[in-house]
Amino acid sequence: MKKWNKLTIFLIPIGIAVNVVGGQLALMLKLPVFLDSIGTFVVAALTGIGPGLIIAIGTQLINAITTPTVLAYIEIGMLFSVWSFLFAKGGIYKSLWKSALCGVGVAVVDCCLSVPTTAFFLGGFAGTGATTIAAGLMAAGWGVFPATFVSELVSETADKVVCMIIIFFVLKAIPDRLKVKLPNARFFVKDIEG
Amino acid sequence: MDNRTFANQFLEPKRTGNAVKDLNPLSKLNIFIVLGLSAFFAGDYRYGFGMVILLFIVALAARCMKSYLKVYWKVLLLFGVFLFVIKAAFSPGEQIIWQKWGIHISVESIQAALVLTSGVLAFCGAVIMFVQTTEWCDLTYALEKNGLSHTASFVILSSFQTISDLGVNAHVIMDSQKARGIETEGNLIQRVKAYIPVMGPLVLNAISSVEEKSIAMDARAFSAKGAHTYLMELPEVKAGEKAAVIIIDILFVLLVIWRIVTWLI
Repeated sequence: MKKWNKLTIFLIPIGIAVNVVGGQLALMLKLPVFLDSIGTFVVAALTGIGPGLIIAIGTQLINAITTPTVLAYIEIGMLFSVWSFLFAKGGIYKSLWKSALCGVGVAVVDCCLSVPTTAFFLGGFAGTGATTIAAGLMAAGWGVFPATFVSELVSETADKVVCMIIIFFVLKAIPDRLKVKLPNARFFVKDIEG
Repeated sequence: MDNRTFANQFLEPKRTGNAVKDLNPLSKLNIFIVLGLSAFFAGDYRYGFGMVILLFIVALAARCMKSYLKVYWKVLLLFGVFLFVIKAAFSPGEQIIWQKWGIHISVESIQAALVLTSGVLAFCGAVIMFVQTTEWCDLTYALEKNGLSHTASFVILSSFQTISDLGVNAHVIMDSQKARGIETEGNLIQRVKAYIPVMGPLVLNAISSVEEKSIAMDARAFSAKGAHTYLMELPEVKAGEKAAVIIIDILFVLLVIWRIVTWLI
């Protein structure tokens, strides 16, 4: 942690807070999605994988204060940090369409990781909006595994696409004079040597 | 309270006079995590529900029943009731009690649901109990004494502060956006559309404030080298407390070994 840029260290609490407040706001507006990973994506894109990982772990720990079962999904949040760094490196964040498309990709990988946890550990019950779809499908004769997969894929895709659109606009709107002071400036600002 | 007694209270180690709250934060963390996890490993619903009741007794002893229940009732409802119903209705089983439209309740599924529900409830209860009986600054202080860097302490404490700050900001931005005509109610599309103009300014504001914050912190010697001083001291860890933590840990390890052995045979 010592060798990190000071701005990076100050961005970590902000990333955690953006995640948590984003999630609360989605609840307040009664949206059927979480939207609680915006901070991880934005800060990981700007500063790198390490700070992103800390943000993901911190967010899950704070969410665990009220719903401790989220700890079972901690690895998914950590993966967001890696994704976001790679997207920034590959220039995905330069186009809205590519960002939204990658959101779908992230959602599919997410599901593959989270569904086994939900299906086996919690019997298909994640305690979210997706559970109602899953319960409906199970009552219609589907197995636990496919029912959970379909319901989570629907909600994850919606979640990640909206997320990536917001992240695209946020990253675009951050002024260059701030970006150049952060470790990943070379991905966003022209004429900078890595 | 006159000035002298106010000043003197900082000379003594910090105590609340409550046996549960005055445990060292790290021993408390250790005990509660082990208690919570043990319910999963025990695999017996009587143990799990016993743990839930034990946690209620601890809440009474720590005089935090009200704040504990305030968080815990949601978990009780969500996982105690719904998780139980879903698990009982859809788990496979032979001895079927009731069956209709793909829902089949059997003796095995109720058994499985009880085991899972009791484990989840006990684990959630232990985590919530730890948070309710510990102050974050005490925890980070205890961690710093064990070699955590003060930067990490800052990140932890600052996260909580930033969350409440951003929460206030979010409300302000939402009210302003409403004032200029953005609908925050209505159908789903309208609500999603309302999310973006609130979240955008919120994140941008937070990120651009980071520079000012780092200058402000440096002006207060945040990155100064040298030993740090503390306003508060935590009481010394008693030998009995240490012994209790070690005994609980050993019992937990034995439980895990016993489970693995019976599972392998």
